[in-house]
Amino acid sequence: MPVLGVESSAHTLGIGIVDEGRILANEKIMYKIRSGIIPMRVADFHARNSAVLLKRALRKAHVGIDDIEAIGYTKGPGLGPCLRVGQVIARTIAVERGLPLYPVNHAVAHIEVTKHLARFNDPLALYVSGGNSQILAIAGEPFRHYHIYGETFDIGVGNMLDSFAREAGLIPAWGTSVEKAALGGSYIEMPYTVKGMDFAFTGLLTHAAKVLSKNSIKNVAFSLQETAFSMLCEATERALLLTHKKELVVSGGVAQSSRLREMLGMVAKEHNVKFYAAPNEFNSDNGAMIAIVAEKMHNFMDKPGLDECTIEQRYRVDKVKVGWP
Amino acid sequence: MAMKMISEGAEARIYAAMIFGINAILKYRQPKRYRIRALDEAIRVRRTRIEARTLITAQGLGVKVPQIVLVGRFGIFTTRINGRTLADILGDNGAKAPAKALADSGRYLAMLHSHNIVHGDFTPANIMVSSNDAKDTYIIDFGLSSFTASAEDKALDLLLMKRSLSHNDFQVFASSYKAHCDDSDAVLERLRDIERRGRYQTRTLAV
Repeated sequence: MPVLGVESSAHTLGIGIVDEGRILANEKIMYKIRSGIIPMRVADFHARNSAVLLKRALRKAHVGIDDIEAIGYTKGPGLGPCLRVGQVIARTIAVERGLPLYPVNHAVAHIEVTKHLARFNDPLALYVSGGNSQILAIAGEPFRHYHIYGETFDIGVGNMLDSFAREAGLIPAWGTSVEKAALGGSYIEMPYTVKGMDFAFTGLLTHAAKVLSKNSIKNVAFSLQETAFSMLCEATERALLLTHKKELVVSGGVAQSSRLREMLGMVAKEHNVKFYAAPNEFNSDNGAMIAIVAEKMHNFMDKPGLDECTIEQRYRVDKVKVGWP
Repeated sequence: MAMKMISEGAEARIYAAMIFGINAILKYRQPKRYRIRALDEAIRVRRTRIEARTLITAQGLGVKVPQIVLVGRFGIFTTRINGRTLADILGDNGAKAPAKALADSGRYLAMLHSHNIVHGDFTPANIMVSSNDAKDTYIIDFGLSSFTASAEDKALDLLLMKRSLSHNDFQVFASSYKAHCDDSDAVLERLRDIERRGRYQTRTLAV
């Protein structure tokens, strides 16, 4: 029976429908940004579009609302006002229909959908988004969870790329614009901060913004991107050697970067590790990934009470119990 | 010169080598194909240089470290320490950390920090206990070290140890550190700060 997933942690409202792991619909609508986002405005946008998007997803999946067996939504991490809209949509349908409701962690969903599509069992995951950059793998008994082996000391790599795009006047101000601007650039030295399996990006951002006045945007963008991605690859390589994992995935918004995928592919090949990155519709925020995890929770875990179905802006990935295989 | 690879890390390969009649090891930073060449060489040269410089400075301070024999662009020959890492000793079932190694490493880290040297990867894997009778403690792998007065960077050296050791072992290590560091209050205060920050509240040691 189909499971519905609602994602609304940032500028994307996504509704996905899955049935026994098959993705029947993954509809999304995105608040258009030029530079930065104002949470309340985005929340309004999500609220306005929710009914239309729900209809679109049901139509695409060829299921009726009566066929839905369980519902999942993003509990966090994310922007409070935006998360609230998704939670209210999911909760309202669940309560009205008497369906079980599952709160899903956004990062877990990104990794799990990638793992699902790759048909991997136990990968090391590099999760790279705007707010977060972490290296994780499932560990720990009896509390099985995504253990964080390494992460950013300050800001997420996506946030760093977005901020640089704004400084350089690139529009829209996000990573894809930096990747385009970097084409054909040449390398100028940048600060490179890796500590064991952790890394930091603010020093790099500040330096890149500073040298913009004396160098072409192309060269600065190129050097910034190469430096940031090399840092991520080095930390990931160290985690691979430490954990001896034989599978590697990259997920999250920045996983859309073809250059980052190429570099991680080389890291994996060097150590005879299988590597997978999902199609971009699953790396940008989407509802299908929430539905995938909700279905696993529905099949393998206890049904949570409604009082547990809250939102949490800083919902840590390592606080989530992974109760499915 | 015949060399036998004895270990391979993420960053460097370690070879056993005889050089100038000395029983040495070579730490060679191999190229990384995923990095563009200019960046790759810059990082390898920079780290090799910093490592050589901190090794020499540390030795001058009286911290036991491998002795430099020869330095190249991407590699350093040092004397070979016969012994085991503290991580290996801890890894043995039921093995306790030797108190001397904990106290020595606390004192050595304090000496380094007092002269604004931050190790950058101060874990039990980079502390060696020699197999001679004196059971001397050596600090190895200065590949991520830096010269800085930053309390934050110093606190991160302590944080790595805190995550790696049992509560009691860390207390032995930290009290030795406190007794020998000029500015331990500021560093320990910063360590508490770092642990209070959201990102680190629930994080424990890997594996």
